[in-house]
Amino acid sequence: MALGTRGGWWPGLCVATAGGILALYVLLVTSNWIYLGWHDTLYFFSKSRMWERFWLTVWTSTVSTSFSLLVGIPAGYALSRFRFPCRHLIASIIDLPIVVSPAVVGAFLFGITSRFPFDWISEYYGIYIGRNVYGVLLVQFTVTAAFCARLMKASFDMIPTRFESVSRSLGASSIRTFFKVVLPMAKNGIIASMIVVWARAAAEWEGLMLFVGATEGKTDIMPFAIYLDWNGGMMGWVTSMSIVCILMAVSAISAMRMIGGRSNVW
Amino acid sequence: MFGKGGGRTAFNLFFYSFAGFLFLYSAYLFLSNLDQLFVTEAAIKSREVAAVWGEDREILNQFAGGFWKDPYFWKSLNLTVSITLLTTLVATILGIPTAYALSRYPIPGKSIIEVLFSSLIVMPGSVIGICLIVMFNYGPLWELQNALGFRFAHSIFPGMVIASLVLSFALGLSAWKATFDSVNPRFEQVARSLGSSRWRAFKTITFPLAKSGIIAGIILAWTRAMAEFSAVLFFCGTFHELPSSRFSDLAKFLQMDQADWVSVAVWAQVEFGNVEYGFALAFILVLIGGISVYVMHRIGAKGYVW
Amino acid sequence: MIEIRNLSGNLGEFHLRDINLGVEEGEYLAILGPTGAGKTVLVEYIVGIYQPNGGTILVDGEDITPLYTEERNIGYVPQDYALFPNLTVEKNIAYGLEARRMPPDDVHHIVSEMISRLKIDYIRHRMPLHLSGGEKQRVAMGRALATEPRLLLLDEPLSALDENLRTELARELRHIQRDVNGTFIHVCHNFEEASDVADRVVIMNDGRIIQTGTLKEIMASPKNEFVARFVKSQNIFRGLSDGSTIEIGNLALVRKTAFKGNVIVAIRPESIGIVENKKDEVENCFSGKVKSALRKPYFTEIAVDMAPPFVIYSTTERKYNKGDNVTISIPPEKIVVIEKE
Repeated sequence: MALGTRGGWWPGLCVATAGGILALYVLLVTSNWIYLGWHDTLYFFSKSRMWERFWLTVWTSTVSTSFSLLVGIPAGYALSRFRFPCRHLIASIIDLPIVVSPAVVGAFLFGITSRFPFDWISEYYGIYIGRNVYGVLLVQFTVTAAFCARLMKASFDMIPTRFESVSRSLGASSIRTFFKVVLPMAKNGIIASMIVVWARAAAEWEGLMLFVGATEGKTDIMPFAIYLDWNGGMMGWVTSMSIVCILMAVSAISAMRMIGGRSNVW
Repeated sequence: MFGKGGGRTAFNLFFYSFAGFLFLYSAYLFLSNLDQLFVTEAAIKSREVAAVWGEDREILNQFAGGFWKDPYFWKSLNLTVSITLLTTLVATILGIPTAYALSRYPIPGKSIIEVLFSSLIVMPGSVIGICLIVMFNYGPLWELQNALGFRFAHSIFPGMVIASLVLSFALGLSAWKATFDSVNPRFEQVARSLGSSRWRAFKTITFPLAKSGIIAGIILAWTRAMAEFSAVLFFCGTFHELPSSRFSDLAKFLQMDQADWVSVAVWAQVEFGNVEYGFALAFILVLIGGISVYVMHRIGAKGYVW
Repeated sequence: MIEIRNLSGNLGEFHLRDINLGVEEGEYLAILGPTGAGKTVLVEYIVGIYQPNGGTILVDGEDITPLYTEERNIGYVPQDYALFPNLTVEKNIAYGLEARRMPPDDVHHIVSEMISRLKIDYIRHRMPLHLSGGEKQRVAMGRALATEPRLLLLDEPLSALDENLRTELARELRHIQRDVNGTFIHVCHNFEEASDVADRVVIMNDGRIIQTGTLKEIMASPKNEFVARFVKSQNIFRGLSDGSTIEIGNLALVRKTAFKGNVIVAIRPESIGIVENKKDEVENCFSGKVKSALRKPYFTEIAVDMAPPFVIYSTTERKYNKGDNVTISIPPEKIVVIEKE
């Protein structure tokens, strides 16, 4: 039907390059599974140690994602709709935690938690945020909140402001407009963002390495556990946990595509 | 109390406050750590007690660990920037034809490809590092490396290039594909009806129209390469403490021996206790990242998420 | 000079079936049909953007079906003209010539000639973004014709323009075609547009060619109900024929026809006359009251309250009011009878 790759060397070059690169990437992603083989994979999957970490990853990601959404949705709306001075500068600063390497973010969090307001919180409320699960949640929140705001901004950008103008012209208050008109239209975007943010939180580990440190069973979520086990030379664990992480990421993206439509916020 | 107009202002303020919170959080996170650059008494004491990693204690006890006086710093910066520029170049040369093919030609399994690349972006860095190690050290590529006589892993070139390329290419690809998608294929069809070959149509029409998107993709790719940490850590490790003999003459000539990838260096220095030095490196990364982001915002790159 | 044989293809939701078409050299052909009829797909097959599933396209006897677009030398003006936004008007027109690696002096010469011929000298160095619809059309024509293609395809070139501009630009297209003595195929969905430009018309629907001929021929004898509606016959009714009279509604029309049984009758509004004197009454005269009378620029559209209701175009100066009694006369030879499918 389409002319395909006919017509000179250029189409052939493009398709060949594409094919070669894609093959390498597919190899990259499946190499763990190739190395480990079916039988060994199932062996590791049957160990409870694997699932303890999996569960830790899942629930910490879910909690921090909830906080990120809480902050990210309104922030995204503000970034999308409002024009304020130095918009670019402010947006850049908001983006900083997600642009720089998470290792850097971890180092900075390490510095920040020894001072206000965190020392105040730990004194008065007895909650110490640092080398424990709360630290994990804080790191996950830090790298995903701004990310969520960005994704939500993109979703809100796709909804024309016309609808809000019409709603207000019919006499609805801003609050009603937001909850009855804007949010339902952004529903798909919100769900898609939620899934992607969750996946990103579950993938965060460099910050943990620098800031939280490893406490077996308490703070070693999956990606971190991979690093620790790799240091310990336990290749079997390492590859099987990698497979789990890959499957988590792929499922999250597939779910997002099915629900939210395009994954082209990227 | 609030009329409709007042309600509107309160409403706006509510949303502003969330954006404001993120802004303040980010600013606080980075700025409040500036004092880490200053050396404290406690730090000096601890350094006298612990074994020093071969550096000059005098330098370390200065502001920001005196990083600008340390050759290791300059070599690391040189190494990282050079490699990332090379990575970006490779990503661009490979990425633009790939993006064009994905955009224009019917390649089977396109949605699977998109899922694959999007998944890579949300995957943990350690997993990507492990995948690289397994792919190169255990698979069929191991044989290939044996035949060629050198190892890909734990090397500056091509190890570091490959490690930073994985995600840099993925991000650049998504940006470039979106750019080509936004150029109407009609232009190429008309150009070809006038007698242009497909390459000429691309060169004279599509590419000029896609220029700003391509540049945005290049900046994106480079920024991501600079921010790479896990893949480089796993695949290459640190080079700081390796003896000089382990490096090729070319590496020494280019001032890349005994240096580390900067984000890895941040981790290494902070781990080792040279907090001021580590933070100085971190601030430099933040500065570079911040400038990149600001440029991206100014040229109006829409919807590019890191 | 172009012959399409048994062309068929599927492109997404559009399906073309058994397209057989021939166009003479120097002819201006219009392909007319509603949206979704497959007209654009046909154009895309001829230009070479897509490959059809079956059939051949011959130009001057040469089979061009396996050729790439860039080898076919067929001019293409898509909807919205697709002027290259990054090139000036001059560069746009020169594009095809430069693609053929012509020496720059020759290129400049031909481009200048084309520019002066189309009278667009004053916008020579402008970018396409700032041009008006008419200017864009001239540049697009100049670009396509500079390489002297053997055939020019225009895909709905006037659809996006407003009414008055459309007629003016349609005349310009016609003028250009006569001037260069080229073969043009013009796709549109509006039959007034086709009547402004075309020598011959092809009516397409649902991926098939329904009827070809001059517009006059088609208007006089549409092949089926769809065509009749498309060329705005207005008075289209179902009737019962017995060979010499046709019963429609309450009336009996005198009309000899070979069709018997259920038929469709189409009568053009301008064919129906209004009888002033009783003496002039001939066959097929009926009386009724005027339901509405709308003065249009060139005629008065009168709706007569009968069973069935007729619409008449009257060109007399006489004013008609609602409720007036009129007697209309329908000449039997102007009654088009279509066999009901």
